[in-house]
Amino acid sequence: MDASLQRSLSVLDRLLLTHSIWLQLSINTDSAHQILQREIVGTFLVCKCSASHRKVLCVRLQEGGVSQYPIREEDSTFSLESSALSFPDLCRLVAFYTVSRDVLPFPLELPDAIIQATTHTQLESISHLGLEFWSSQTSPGLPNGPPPPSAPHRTFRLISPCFVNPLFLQPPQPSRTASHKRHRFKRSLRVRVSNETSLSLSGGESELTQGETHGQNSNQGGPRRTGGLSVLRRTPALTPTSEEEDDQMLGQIPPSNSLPQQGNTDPNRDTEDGEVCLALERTRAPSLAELDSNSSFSSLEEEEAQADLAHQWPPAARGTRFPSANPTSTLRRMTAAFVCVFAPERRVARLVDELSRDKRSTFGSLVQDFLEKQRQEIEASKHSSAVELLQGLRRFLSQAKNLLLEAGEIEPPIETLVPENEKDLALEKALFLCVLKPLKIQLQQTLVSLHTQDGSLQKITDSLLAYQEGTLERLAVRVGVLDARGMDRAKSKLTLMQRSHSPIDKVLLLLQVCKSVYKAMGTQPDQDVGSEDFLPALSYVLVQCNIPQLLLETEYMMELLEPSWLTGEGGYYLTSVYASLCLIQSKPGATPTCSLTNEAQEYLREWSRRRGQEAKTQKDSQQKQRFVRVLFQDDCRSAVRTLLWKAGENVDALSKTCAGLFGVTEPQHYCLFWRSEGEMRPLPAHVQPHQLGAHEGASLSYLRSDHDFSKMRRLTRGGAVDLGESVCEE
Amino acid sequence: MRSADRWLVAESLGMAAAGGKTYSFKVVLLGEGCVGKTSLVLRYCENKFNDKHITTLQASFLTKKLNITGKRVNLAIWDTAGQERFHALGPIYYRDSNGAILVYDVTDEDSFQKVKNWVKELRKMLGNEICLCIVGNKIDLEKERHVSVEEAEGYAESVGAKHYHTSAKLNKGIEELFLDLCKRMMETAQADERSRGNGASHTSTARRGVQIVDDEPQTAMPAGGCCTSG
Repeated sequence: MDASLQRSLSVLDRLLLTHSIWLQLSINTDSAHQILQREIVGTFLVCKCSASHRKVLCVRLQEGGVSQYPIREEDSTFSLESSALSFPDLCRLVAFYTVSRDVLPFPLELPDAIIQATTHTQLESISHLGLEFWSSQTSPGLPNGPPPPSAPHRTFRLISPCFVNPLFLQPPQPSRTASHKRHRFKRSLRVRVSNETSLSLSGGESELTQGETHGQNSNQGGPRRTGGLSVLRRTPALTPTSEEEDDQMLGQIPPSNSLPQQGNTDPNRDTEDGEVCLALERTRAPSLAELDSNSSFSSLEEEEAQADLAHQWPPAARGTRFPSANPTSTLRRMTAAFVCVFAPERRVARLVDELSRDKRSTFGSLVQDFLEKQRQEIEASKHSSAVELLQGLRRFLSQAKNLLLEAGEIEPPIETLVPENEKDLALEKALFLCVLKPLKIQLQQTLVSLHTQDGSLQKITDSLLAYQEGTLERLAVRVGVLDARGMDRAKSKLTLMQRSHSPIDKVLLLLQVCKSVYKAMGTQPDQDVGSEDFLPALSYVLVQCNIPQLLLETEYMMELLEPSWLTGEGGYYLTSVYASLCLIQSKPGATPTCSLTNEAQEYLREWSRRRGQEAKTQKDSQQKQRFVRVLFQDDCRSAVRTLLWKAGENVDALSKTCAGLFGVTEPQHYCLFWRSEGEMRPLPAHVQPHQLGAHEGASLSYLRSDHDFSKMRRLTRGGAVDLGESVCEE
Repeated sequence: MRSADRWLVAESLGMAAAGGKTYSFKVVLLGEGCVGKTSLVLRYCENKFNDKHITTLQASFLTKKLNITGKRVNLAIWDTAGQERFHALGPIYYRDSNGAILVYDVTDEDSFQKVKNWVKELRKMLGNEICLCIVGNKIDLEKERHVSVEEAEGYAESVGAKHYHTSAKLNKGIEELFLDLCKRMMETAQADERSRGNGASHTSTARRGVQIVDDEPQTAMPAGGCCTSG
């Protein structure tokens, strides 16, 4: 076997392609314990603790035991709880610990089959085994002994080196604030995560810094057991990247002159460059206190950066899932995409966006069909009200999100990309990008025309005009208000809001305006100002800005944000804007109380009806269908696709779907197989979705019915790779 | 309190199930303009988490994280504008609330009357699932008291609410008020979960919609007198 081919698969590549083996979030630590008992020292699994619901790295120890290392997920990073090293994603964390032990007793060991695989197809076959991998062992290894002495060296000859620098090396300091941590994260994103495809081993060393050269030597040369850690501790977490990469990154973040080129965290600096950090800090929506006027918004940036992206980012991050002429290059591209899109939530957005464009995926076909249908309905003016239109969109967003979570089509899984508590936000943003953005212009026009028809746009326009005279007195504003300049800025923010498709970015702009209103209130330090004073001050600003479309924007945000989010700070200030608009529209003089309460009551009624409906629909859909991963292989092709298998649909129908999906011309010669009692057998005709294996990610194979089963047996752990063939000749 | 956490409260609503036992509750503050509800909540939120950023910047929306008998609780506290001219905006603020704190000034009989109006409206709009706390504030001005303890406590009991006496100025009774409210909201949430069976996650506490009795004619509310100042 060609050694160069093997080299092209770095540890990170292997981990990415075989996450279904080592990432077992559906099993608990007890099951992981049982599995690892049979494995050699250093073998590992990432599973979920059933008590704490946290991810845990389980490692087989020398004494026959299994050690557990809880994984800390915070501030958009992953780290072992006992360690000070953080990583931008789980795959990188694991990759790091395969070469450096840090807090572990020894580095992690990948199973032989994964190390020795030489092609992308082999890895895919292994990967398709999923949890079965661990019970399909062909060579039991040395259950209680140390790993074979030759293992480290062998590994290094076979696998191309992979450099994973942790994000920062400081011990956790409770006194430091989260934002400080994120500042460090932001800068350390410039850390180079390289593998052979991006780092030439022989040349280009002149552009490397001392630190990087250091790391490289230590990783490549000596046995990997000798502490990569000690080297790393001397190495700055941040190393300059090539100019080319800098340019790529600058496309994503505001001009970074204030970013230090050498990576030492300077606490003073952190307070100064607050504006630069926001683009990246928004891995989590910032709160009012954090917001700054010059922050940037992905939905707006993307508008401008679109053209660049097409050039800079390779198109297929998920190329491995489908037949491809050149698997190695797709893999390369996948890794490249994985590396260069750095902000975790953007990485998710990008993966989801690409998936949504691929009609061959379940998610993609769902999204594309919906977009097409939606465009037709909009064109035919089928919607009777704006709220109805928006609620339809929200229902779809929720449905699509569930599908994304259930179908497991995101590669690598989202659980490895963003910490648990950021997952929902990242998915919401991603969905806004692939559903709302394509509809943006049409949606805007339709909403305007619907609100023109029902007269509400005229009503708010009139109300705003009517309030222009003597605003301060009529609103009884008792505190300071924005000056002319501040008002201009508020107005430009509210105008900018209309350019974004993302309800989250809109809310962020709104929060900025609210913050400026607070600042202008200029109260004494010991004076408590609550809603009492804020609401009139906010209303004053809205009147002065005089943007009737704000009504549409408010409705857009309220209807499209995930309803449970409306309880947070963004929801509070959005509610305040809505309340201000109601106040402005209430008839001056008359007791506003009763006339509005009826509307409000109807509004509440409608709200509760919707909530009940949503919960019910979600529950129903979960019981009636199942996502199934289907592996397709013939002489020259190999592909994995996710299918939606509905209850009541028989195996015949499923086979037909597969034939179409994989472009099989003679479907009569193919059938579906499942793994039963460790053997591959044809899927019985009467089987229903719920009868497939209990754990998530049920998988089937679609193969020729006369498939060579001696070959098929190679689909076991060792069989996927012919161990005899793949010994490296050196 | 980290400022970023405030948004996280919202975020965690969707994530509560994954992190084990985390409850997220929305509590709305209602009461007339000058009864001191803003000071009350500022007292509460600042005492433990002394963060200088939030003192004057934002007193309208505050959060607090608690650990009650091993369970994490995230509180989002919504202030509302209490003047009569803003009364109609109430429903916009209090929908989806798990709890309401109705504050009056013990020296101001009129403010107690307003609390009664709010209670009627909340019971009508949100049913019995919302936990109500009636709070007599400014007990540091005991000498000028105009609302008798017996009357206030008797009324609270009659409407299924709990009554508390506080002084934002002296920092009295505030911790107890919030702790007690949290415990009651947790009980309500747990009962809610049980009635839904195991399928429901903790998110159900946040997703629980408003309860409106449909057979009530819509016009009943203004006619009920809860909108007129008393």
